[in-house]
Amino acid sequence: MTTALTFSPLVALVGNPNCGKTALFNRLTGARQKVANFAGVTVERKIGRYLSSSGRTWQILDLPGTYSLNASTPDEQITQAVITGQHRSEAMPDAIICVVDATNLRRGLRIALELKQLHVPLVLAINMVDVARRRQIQIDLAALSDALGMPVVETIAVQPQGEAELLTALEQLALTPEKKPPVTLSVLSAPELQQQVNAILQRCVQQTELASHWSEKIDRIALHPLFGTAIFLTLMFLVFQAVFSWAAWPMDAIKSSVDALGSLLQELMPTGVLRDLLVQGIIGGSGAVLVFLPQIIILFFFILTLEDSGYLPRAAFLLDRLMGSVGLSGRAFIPLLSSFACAIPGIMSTRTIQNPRDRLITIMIAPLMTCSARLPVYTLIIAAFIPDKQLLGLINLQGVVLFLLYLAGILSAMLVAWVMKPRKSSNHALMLELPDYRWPNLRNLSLGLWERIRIFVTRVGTIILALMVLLWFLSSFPGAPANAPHPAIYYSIAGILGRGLEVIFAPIGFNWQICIALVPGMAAREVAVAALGTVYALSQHGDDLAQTLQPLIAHSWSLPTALSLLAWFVFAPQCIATLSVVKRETNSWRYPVIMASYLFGLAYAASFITYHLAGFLLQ
Amino acid sequence: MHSSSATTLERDTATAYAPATSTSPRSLDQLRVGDRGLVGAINQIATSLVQFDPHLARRLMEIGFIPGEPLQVLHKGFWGGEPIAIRIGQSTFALRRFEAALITVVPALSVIPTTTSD
Repeated sequence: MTTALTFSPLVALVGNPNCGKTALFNRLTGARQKVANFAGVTVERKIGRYLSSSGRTWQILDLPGTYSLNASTPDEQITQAVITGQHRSEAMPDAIICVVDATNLRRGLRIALELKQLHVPLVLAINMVDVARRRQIQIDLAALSDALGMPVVETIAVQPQGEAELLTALEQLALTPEKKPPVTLSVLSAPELQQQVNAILQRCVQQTELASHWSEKIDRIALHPLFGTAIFLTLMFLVFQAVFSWAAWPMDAIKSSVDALGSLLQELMPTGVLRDLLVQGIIGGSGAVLVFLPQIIILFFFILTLEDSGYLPRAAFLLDRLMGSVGLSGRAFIPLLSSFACAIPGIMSTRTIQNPRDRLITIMIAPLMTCSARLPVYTLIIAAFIPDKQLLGLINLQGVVLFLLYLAGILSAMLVAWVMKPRKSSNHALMLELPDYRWPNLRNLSLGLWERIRIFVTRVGTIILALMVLLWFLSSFPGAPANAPHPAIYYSIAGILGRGLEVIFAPIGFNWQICIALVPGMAAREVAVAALGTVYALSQHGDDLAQTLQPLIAHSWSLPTALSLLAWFVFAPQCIATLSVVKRETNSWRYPVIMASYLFGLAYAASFITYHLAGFLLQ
Repeated sequence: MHSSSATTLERDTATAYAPATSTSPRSLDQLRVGDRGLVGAINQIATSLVQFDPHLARRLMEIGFIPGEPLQVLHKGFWGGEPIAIRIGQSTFALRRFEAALITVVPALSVIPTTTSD
């Protein structure tokens, strides 16, 4: 077809979920893909480029998987709107590749028939042919192409060159640069479509129905109440351990390299604002961003592996009743579990939850899972104020208090989830597909990981960095006057802010030192301890700082104040990095604002009650 | 010519061919693990348990629960017997009890009738 090479056709990939569409997309576009969101929604939009041997650039758009062109869920609505040309900001595709799973033609071919009414150039790509051949499914491509009235090719998306036939078929499509007008779909009844599909299958496909597939055999253990749960708990423990402790070493490595770079610049550069901006603002800020990467990479490695292998729906199956009782989806478990290490990778991993409402609720309660950044604050205050006694001679009192803090986080998360549960749907439909198990593909895994890293650094990292620099500025200017009785931070804008905040925080027992420390503590919760050190004009770092702070605060704070601060941190609403991730994942500023507000409200209420109750009981 | 086993066979096929109303059709949530059958019909029930959702029946058909398609119950969740994992056609789906309750199941014809006269 000799249309001008300047015409860059837009080809959409349409198909059922779990048909390997994304793997095929990766095969076609490789790293030349861009991941964003469709306008106004949290549905992911993946578009990539493919340069053909004829010199033409093809734009490939991966549309959300859908079971039918009659859309029910938000992502199905996007697919329907885009391919009919009715989406307000997406162009109608010039051609469509309909991807079907070779082992499930019975269901997959229905959408191929539905797509015909669009009168758009179509190619049917039968994917996972390698699995089909192993199951001795024989497909007569010519007969199928004849019966469907469209070119039919076989693809194996997980093999190199597995897309070769598809590329040839694409080149042979009759494409015109003129955009077609939008189409309204007529509703075809599913039973009618199935009849047509069954007739076609009878003519063109030969297969023997196996007594039971090996996926089914695995599921007998994986979904077994006892063994299945044991496997699940072991896997979760492994993931949790990995994110919590394996990430520690690279995180420390990053922290020390950043510190080393900072010290180097500190020595080399002349004293002055520029040096401080570079060292404390920019390098410190970048360090704060990069330090999350090990946890994100490790967590997503596990999640992408579990997802690719097909195990995640089984986990959702096992957890459905338990999570459902608090109005959460079974798929919320991994994100919430990871949030115990850090809410940032946890919130990023909520994309495995398809239902947008469930996903939003999970995002909103993730920060209530006691993240590891709170531990330094908890340990400091508990060590200073809770006596190191044994309860009943067995249980350490300090340990009990720590456990209660974790429990408070979990219980409040369940309460908030229950409150956020939409009133109308007492029980919405599950309809969870359990796809066949398959070996995770390393190439897809790497592409997926790379995508996550890129998104985090460019979208979230820039926000965090900007805010860190801002905080540095607020904490450093204006400087202290000569012979100042208080540390420099007292006179900075942050200090003025903190002292102003004392009016608000006095009823919950926070003194001005705490109020000031909370301001830089917004950067990251673990910074709160360092910030306290700065406020008390201490020059130590790390563990030494904690040792020195302990007796200091034990002397100057009252017990109710200490307990009130503990209660505050259970809900601690100010972690800029978390709010930035929420902004990116929900594609709006509304939800981070709502999150910060409701957490603030809960924190204040909890602190207020704790402070006054403790004051009353201890009189 | 008719041995007792052939007579039994005849009787069995007769029963298998009987219209569904003679044996009350069961709904999918009433089956036990391992039971097979064919999809009978998808009902739209507005009861106190189920919020009336006109799309639910259509969506069940779109994922493959179409009258005449073969199914088998594979697994049930531990607490309360839900979710229910069902092999439908060439796919496996997990449904909650109230979704499964909308699907009536008829027995699969497991006996092929032989002509008994010659």
